[in-house]
Amino acid sequence: MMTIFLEQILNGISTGAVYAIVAVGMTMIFGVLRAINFAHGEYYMLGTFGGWFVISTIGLPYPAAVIVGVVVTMAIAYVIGRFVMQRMIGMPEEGSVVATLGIALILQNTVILVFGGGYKFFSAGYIEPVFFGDIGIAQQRLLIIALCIAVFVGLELLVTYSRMGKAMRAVSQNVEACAVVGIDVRTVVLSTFVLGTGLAAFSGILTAPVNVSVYGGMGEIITFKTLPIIVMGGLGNVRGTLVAAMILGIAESFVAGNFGLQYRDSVGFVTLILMLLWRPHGLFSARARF
Amino acid sequence: MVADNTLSIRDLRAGYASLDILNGVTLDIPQGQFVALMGPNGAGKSTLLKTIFGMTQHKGGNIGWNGGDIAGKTSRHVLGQGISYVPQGRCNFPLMTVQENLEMAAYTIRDAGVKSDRDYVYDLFPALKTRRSTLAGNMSGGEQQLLEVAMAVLQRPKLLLVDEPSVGLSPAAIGVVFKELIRLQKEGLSILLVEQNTRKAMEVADRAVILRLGEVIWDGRPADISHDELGDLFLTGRMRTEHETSRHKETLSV
Ligand SMILES: Nc1ncnc2c1ncn2[C@@H]1O[C@H](COP(=O)(O)OP(=O)(O)OP(=O)(O)O)[C@@H](O)[C@H]1O
Ligand SMILES: [Mg+2]
Repeated sequence: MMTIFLEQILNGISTGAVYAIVAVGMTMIFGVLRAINFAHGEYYMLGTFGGWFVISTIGLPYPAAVIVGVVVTMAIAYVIGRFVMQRMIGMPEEGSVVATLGIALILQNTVILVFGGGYKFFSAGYIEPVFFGDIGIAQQRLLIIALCIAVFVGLELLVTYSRMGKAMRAVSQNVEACAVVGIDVRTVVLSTFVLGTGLAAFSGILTAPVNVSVYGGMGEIITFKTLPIIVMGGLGNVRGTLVAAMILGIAESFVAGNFGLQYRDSVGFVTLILMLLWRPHGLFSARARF
Repeated sequence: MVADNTLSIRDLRAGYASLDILNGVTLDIPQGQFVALMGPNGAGKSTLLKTIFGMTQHKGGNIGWNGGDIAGKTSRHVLGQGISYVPQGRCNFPLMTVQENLEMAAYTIRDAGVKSDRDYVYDLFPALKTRRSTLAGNMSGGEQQLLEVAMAVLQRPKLLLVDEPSVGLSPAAIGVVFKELIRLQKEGLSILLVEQNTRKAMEVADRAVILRLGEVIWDGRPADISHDELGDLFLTGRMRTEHETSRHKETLSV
């Protein structure tokens, strides 16, 4: 009984880690653009597809496939960032909703056109279990947890010490003050967007060995799980996102384990509805941004 | 070519989208001059400062500076040309500490002098030094205003545009800010100050410029205009005639 409970927690944390990596990108993009990127899950999908493609065609080893998936996604994001996201600076919300939903449709359907609509099988990564006493967990899941910690430590260092990271915080706090001190908001928005989508892609390829199936529409559900997380975490709040992602990951793991897998995906939606009713500014103080 | 640090605004027209706010402003600010820009609410004072700093829609005319025309250029370009701007109201990074805000102020300056400049600013404003690890947004309005002036000083400008720095400040803090502005002027900086506190402005400025409905309606030495005349200019856009003044006195004495 205890073993099952602990396994559920561990699996929940690793699912939470996947969500955290994808969601932190979306929340940072929101921070600098004040816009929800409704195509965020599609970058997760692109990364996964990129990894799957180089593994299944030229047999690249998994770590190299991770890099290819992330880099290709960031390159695509750079182009989209230049032509679409930069134009969203200072634009009313309706514009960004329509624009990012449009991008989601284009990316999704382009991938389906090129690779077909069927499910692909992702066979790579480290799926053998390791045991701690009776508790078994796939190596890949431990890897995900470790990399999630690395990502958040890295982001914390980035926004605290680097010039670009500080500029990202500055843009998220006061755009007018940025003009006054000479920060180029357009460049900061583009960099944040490319970084955030790169993290989404990273998250996608990291989970692929565990999730196994790869398909064009896989990003949608990720976008809609990311939404409750970034709302719970407080839009634009990096640390809050980590906590919220863990809460959702663990909650999903319990619901799947104790009530049935079919209820798992509803946890996020219920959370979103409750959050919007109860604390639309998130679990944490609205001031604790990144 | 010798850099000419006179700001020469010629027939400047600017506004927001389709809205015209400045309707042909002409104004020269020679190097080292302290100019007080005054006028009723909505006259376009802030818009003029924003336009010089490249934050509005430029619709015509030019702004000569450093041998070039900066009208319609981006804020970053203008800042790079040695013009700094302290906007009206709060304009800092509220979730960064005072120290981080001062670091951000020197964002475009990448040399070793930045740190000593910051120490210098701390000496100038000891109030900021004691609060260096406080989040800017958690400080009082007056402290934040001081911070914003300090941020502009760190940019080593040749011309400083300051919009209503005294709002919300205690008399003591106003004293500090104005003393600092005068000191900066003595170092050769030109200052264009918008100030509602006309008495204070006339006291420190070399020159007063009055803007009304987007046009300069008076330009001269503060000594050449009385406070009553200033009030009339604000309200009606012109000085009272002798006749009106005597009638006004009659009304008052009845
Ligand atoms: N961002 C903006 N968009 C549209 N109109 C604006 C904007 N900012 C100011 N205005 C308009 O421009 C006009 C001049 O405003 P401005 O702020 O320059 O006046 P001001 O002289 O600084 O007044 P105050 O003394 O109240 O600060 C006003 O009618 C104002 O409504
Ligand atoms: Mg104003």
